[in-house]
This record gives sequence, C-alpha cells and structure tokens, in this order.
Amino acid sequence: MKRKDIYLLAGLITAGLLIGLIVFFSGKPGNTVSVRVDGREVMTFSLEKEQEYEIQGEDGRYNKIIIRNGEVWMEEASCPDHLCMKMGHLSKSGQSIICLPNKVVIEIHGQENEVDEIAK
Amino acid sequence: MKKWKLIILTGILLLTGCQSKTPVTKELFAMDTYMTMTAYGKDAEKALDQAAAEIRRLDQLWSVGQEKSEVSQINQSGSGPVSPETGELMDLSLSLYEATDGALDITIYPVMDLWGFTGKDRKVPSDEELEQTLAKVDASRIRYDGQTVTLEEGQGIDFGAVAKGYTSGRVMEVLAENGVTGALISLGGNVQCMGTKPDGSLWRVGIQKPDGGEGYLGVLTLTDKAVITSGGYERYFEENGKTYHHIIDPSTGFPADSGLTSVTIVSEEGALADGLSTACFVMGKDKAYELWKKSPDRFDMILLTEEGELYITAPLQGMFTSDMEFSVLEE
Repeated sequence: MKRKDIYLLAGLITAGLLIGLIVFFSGKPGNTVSVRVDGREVMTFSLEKEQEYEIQGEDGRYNKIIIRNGEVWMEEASCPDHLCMKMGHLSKSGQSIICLPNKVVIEIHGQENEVDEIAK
Repeated sequence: MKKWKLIILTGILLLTGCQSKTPVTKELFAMDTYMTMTAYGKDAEKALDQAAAEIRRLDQLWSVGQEKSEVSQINQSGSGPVSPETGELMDLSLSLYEATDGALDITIYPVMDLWGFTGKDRKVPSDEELEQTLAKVDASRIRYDGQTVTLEEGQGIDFGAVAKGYTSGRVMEVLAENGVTGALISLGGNVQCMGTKPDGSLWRVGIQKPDGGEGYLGVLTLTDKAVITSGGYERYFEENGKTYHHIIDPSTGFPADSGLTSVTIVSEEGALADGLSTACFVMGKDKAYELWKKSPDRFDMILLTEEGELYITAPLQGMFTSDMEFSVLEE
C-alpha cells in the first residue's frame, strides 16, 4: 500500500466514526413537532421547548398551536367545526392533530413509535 | 492499489444508497380526509404517485361535494349510468344492506344531510323533517341493473361508509403492480397494509381509544389486511348539553345507540371492512357476533362496549395485544 492509500483509508474511517458520533448524540433528546400545511412541512419544533406558533393561510385562515410542558395542542383555529381544538393535548410520538378545512397537520415525531399506524 | 479504493468506495456508496430499505411516504387531502401512505420498494415513489392519482380519480367518481361526480349526477337526476368501479361499490353496498338487515344503507344520505353531517351547519332535525326524510331511506328500493342506477323520488345515495375502504384496497393493488414489497396506508384512520418491512417484520397497528386516553385499545401485529375502526368520537356536535355523533342508525334516523363505543373490523377486503365497521357499530355486540359467525373467514372484529368490556374474535388471538382485559368470541 502506498502512503497516500493509507491516508485515504484513515481519513475515511475517521469520517465514518465522526458521522456515527454525531448521529448518536444529536438525534436523541426528545420528540419533535412537525407542522405541515397541505402536505408541505412548514416548521418543526422541539416538544421540550415552550412555543406559540401561528399559521396564516389564504382567505384569513389561521391556526394557533401551543407547545408547553411536553405537550402540543391546537389553541385557536378559524375552521368552522373546531374539531382540531377538541383533539386534546398530545405528547406521544406518532400522535397527530389534523385541521381538515385548513389542511394543517401537527404530528409528533420521536425516536421509536410504539405502533406504525393508528386505526381510528 | 486502485482496486482497494474502488472496493471501499463502492461499499460506502452501497451502504448509504440502499434505496429500497428507506420508506417513501406521501400524504394528501382527498375524500374529505387526510391520507398518509408509506411504501418500500425500488419504484416506491412512482408507485405512490400512481396511487395518489387513483385516489383522486375515485374521489371524483363518488364525491357528493362535486356536482360532476357520478354519485351527484344520480342524486340530482334520480338516475344515471355507472362506471365499473361504482358498479362494484353498488353491488357490495346492496349485499351488505341485505346481510346486515339494513344497518348499512347508502340511501341514508338525505338524513345525514338533514343533520348537517354532510358539511353544513349541524343541528338536531325536527321530528317532522326526520320522519319525512326517513321514509325514503331504503336501499332495497334502488333499481340497479348492472349499468344504470335509478332512485325513487326523494332518495339520495352516498358511498361514504364504503368508499375509503374500497379505495385502500385499490391502492394496495396499484402498489403491488408497481413492485412495492411492503406498504402501510391510512386513509383518514382507515388503515391497510401489505407485505413486510425490509427487515421482514410485520406492521403494528394501534387501535385508538374512543375517549382519546393514553395508549391504545390494543395493538395488532399483522399484514395484508385492512384495519378499519368506527366510533362516535370522530365527528360529532353538541346541542343543549347532549352529544350527537355522525353514525346514523337507518332504522331510527338518530345517532346509533347500540351499546358499542368502538368497532374495528380486520379483513383482507378493504371495502367490506369499512362497510361492516359502520354496520356493526349500528347493530351492537350481539347482532355483530351473529353476523361474524356466518362468515368468520371473511373478517374479524374488535368490539368495545359502553361498560368498557373488550371483545375480540378468536382468530385474532396471537396478533392482538392489549393492556386491557379482553374476552374472546368463539365461532
């Protein structure tokens, strides 16, 4: 083996280890809240950090979500039925709040879901 | 020397670029609900695009909210031709009407409309309005010759209780045709799965608790099945302190009050699972059990009563786990 080959090999191994370490340490803490509008992710938050977020849509449509004490809920919404506001406070990975009229989906993502999908 | 590098680099590329082990997901809003689809396979992305196109095509056939849909045309003019897919749904709906003694009735649509569950303002109808409208509810009075559907004066139809289940079955066909090896979809909470995950493991489907509490009624570990749950907790409204949900009993015109709070049907046939989940919710535990005993090979059930008793049919043993106690319904 030439010296250059050894450098390349060592470089690759170090890079691999580094990536492994980053993945191991960065992904861990807690769940994230994904906010999607009409199928597009517009924002993600940590479920551990207190947060208020307003989504403004066309024709005066809006939704306001609150994240507090490891829970997320729909605080206000312009939709007529307000079903999304009745979906309660969520804290578990895989749970979601959906506001159909405004096409807003709030979903908690975590390390490991207990189930792949929920029948309801 | 060159070979060395090549082998290592190829190895790294293979490890990072193994496409079929990462799921492709797609979500869309159609049929008045939110849908998510996950698929594994070489052409999963193309397969999901085709599945989404198929969903939109079927939505346009059956949507009561779109004036040009086949169903709307029939409702407006009292009669109309049907496409093969609508014909299939018609056949299934009429046979379920028979099998469930009218607990599943697609002519309930005008009553749903009266309650406002079709999208308008929700309200409890007056006795007089309800009586008049209910008099027209009877699927046995639909005339259907395989090509044309003819309704009686004042009748209207809606495939809402079977369309999503039928569609999830169609989606599975489209995905399989495109080489998908494993898929899990949820059409507004109507779940259907096929194949396995890349590691060969089965799908885990949780059943939502009707009260929205922590955890699940139970978890099913399975594949190649539709899992469809009906409950009064999904769409409802309150008036004068009373709650009214959207599953209307065709025999009374009022929200079903059969003693069940959640019904899950597990079946290879999506449309059947969808229709039966509604029908069994209306029928109640005893009649649902009788129905199951007539064709235990076609479907299975998970039932929860108002008293909190949980029942599963015998073949589900081994694929159902729950923190709650449950009883097994034998054949």
